Amino acid sequence: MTCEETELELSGGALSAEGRAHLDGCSSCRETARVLGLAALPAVTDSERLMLKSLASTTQQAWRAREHRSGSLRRAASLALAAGVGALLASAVAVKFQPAPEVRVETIHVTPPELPGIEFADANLSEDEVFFDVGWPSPTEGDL
Amino acid sequence: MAAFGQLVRRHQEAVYRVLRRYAPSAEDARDLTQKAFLQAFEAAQRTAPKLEASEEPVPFKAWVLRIAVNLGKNHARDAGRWAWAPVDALERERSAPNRAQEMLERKEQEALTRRAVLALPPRQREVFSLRIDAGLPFGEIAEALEISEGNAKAHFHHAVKRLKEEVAKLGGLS
Repeated sequence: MTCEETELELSGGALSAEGRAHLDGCSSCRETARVLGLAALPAVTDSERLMLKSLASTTQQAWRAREHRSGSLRRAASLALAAGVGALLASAVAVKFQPAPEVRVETIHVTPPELPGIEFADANLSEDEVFFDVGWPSPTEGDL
Repeated sequence: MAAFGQLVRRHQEAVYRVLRRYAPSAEDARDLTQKAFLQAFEAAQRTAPKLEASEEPVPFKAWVLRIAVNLGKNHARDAGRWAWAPVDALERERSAPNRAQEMLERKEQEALTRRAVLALPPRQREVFSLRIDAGLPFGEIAEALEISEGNAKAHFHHAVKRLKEEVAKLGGLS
């Protein structure tokens, strides 16, 4: 028997006589058995089994509640859709039968207001005007 | 509706055993088990017309176990529990004053190994859990995960190899 075959047998929790013989002479397979034993969860207890007893009925109840909820949602969605379609049709009909609005054209004569006289600012500038260079303040300026 | 109850009763223990590894308490595992069945029923309802047309039997067990594996994985990921649950269990053991030193060491090794199981690559972990926790034959594991039986066995072998390495590295083996 090979190590792989023994490993597969060990994973099922039962060893054949050949598997047992292999295990006795193979330290690697003994380590495999030990690791599998450490990794396995403890057996399901009686209290857990008791807890699971009610699972079928609670799952059925949850399923019914879910069905009821999704049925209500479907009904609500259908109603909303029907209402939307109805509103769309009603507005289309209303637009179709509405009389065309009367258009009146009126001519308005507007007299533009009189503008005040404008004096240009650069008219007083002379050629020898003095310009001053003003630098940015230094970072310490104003410190006491 | 009665058939639903029958299906739950038939498969509940296998599903519960798988989810127990990912849940921090028995109550959480039970809630996840119920969730797995509800999702499986939904899947059955969706695909029932197709299956009726093809006259194939409904692979309910495979569905519910695949859903359980995914639920467990997501639950562990979302809650960030997988790394801590075994340690919490270890702490509870540590607090009991009458435990012998040997028992404590064994518990510590178990916690390390179970943590290493949850850190396995997803496919290896799924195969390992379905084999060791649910006790499924490799043929059924293959069906549940939609892989070949040989592939399932190979994943199991790699999982065991990796676990041995990890546990030895962590000093879990004496």
